[in-house]
Amino acid sequence: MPEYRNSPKDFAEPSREEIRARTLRNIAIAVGLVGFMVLVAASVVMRSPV
Amino acid sequence: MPVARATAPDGPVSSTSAHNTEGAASDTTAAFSTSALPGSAKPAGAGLSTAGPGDYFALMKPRVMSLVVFTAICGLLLAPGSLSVSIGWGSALIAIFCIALGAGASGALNMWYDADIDGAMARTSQRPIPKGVLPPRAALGFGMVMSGAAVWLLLVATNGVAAALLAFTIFFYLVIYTMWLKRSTPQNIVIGGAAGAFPPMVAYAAVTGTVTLDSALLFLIIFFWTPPHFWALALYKQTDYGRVGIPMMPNVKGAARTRTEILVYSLLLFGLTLLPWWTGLGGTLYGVAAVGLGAVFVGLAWRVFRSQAGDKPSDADAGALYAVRSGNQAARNLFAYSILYLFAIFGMLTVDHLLVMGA
Repeated sequence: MPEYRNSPKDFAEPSREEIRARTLRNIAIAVGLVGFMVLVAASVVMRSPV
Repeated sequence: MPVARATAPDGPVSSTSAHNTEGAASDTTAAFSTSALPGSAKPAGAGLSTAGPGDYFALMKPRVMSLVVFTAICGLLLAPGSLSVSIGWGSALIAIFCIALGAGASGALNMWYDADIDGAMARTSQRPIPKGVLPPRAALGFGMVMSGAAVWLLLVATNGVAAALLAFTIFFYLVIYTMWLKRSTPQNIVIGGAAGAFPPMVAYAAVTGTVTLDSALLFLIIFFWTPPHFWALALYKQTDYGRVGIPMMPNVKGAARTRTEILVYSLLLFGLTLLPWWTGLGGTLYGVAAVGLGAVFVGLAWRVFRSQAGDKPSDADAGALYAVRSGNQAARNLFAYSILYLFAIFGMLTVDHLLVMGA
């Protein structure tokens, strides 16, 4: 049975600006998450008794 | 290539022109939905957001954040004991980052809630939401996530008291000030000013794990600095606030009452800034600086008090118009100086404290 997703009828293609903005947002989120993890790890290490 | 939200047949679907005091937030939201585009013309693109990381950063009110970061650094350095011994420089830096992040998150949440009025005020019309770059719900999500991250990281890096104070600060700014006081009373920035006064107290608590008289003094200095600072701005920007129905002091109680209150709060601030000298938080260097800086502050407030700043003369009366313009300039001078003053008073207190500690 053919599925809708294989032949979409109202497909809207993102423009170049939209794709570029989405990529930048994705990179910013990734960098933010990695930075946050590093800060949490650093905090835990610094507070651990030597 | 034009983006989706700007290619409606009748031109850009900008939310700015549609803003008014009621229901404009939903107008803004609708501007980002392709289904809200008029006519049957299919937009170019898929209707995705074209907002970049810079637009989200603008939500965090970077200029306000710089003042928060500065006062927080002062709070950290003014806490008793050596920072390197108490919590360490690493944790101190993370604490500053968390306070800045929390302040930025509050700014984003404030822009989410005030989306309906920001577009109608010249001072705020270029913010990302009224400009149509971001939908309000994006600011809400961003603010909530950043708030949670800031509070939790501060808890991990320092202690529960500092984290709880930061959480309370965000709550106070969003719920008590933005949602409640700002639109309901001309005393909005007097009480709401507490939100901006908490950062040095949070930083102090990050080091000591407690609230002391000295940290309360840092809080009170900013608390009493806020009314003359904002009312000076409101005197020459009152049409902006009046247009959107924000009950700022000049609109509700009149310019004369505002000028009097500016002077009263300036005198209270002058007296308050001498208290750290008395408690020993600051030494002679700070005391002399506080007297000098405070004297200029009171002098500028006196000029505003004696002026006709914020008055509404008849257009036919050229002399009165000139007097009001001159008075508005006095209010601008006080507003500009008040920013410099806060940096200077906290800077001198910190430098003096560090010099005494080093001696």
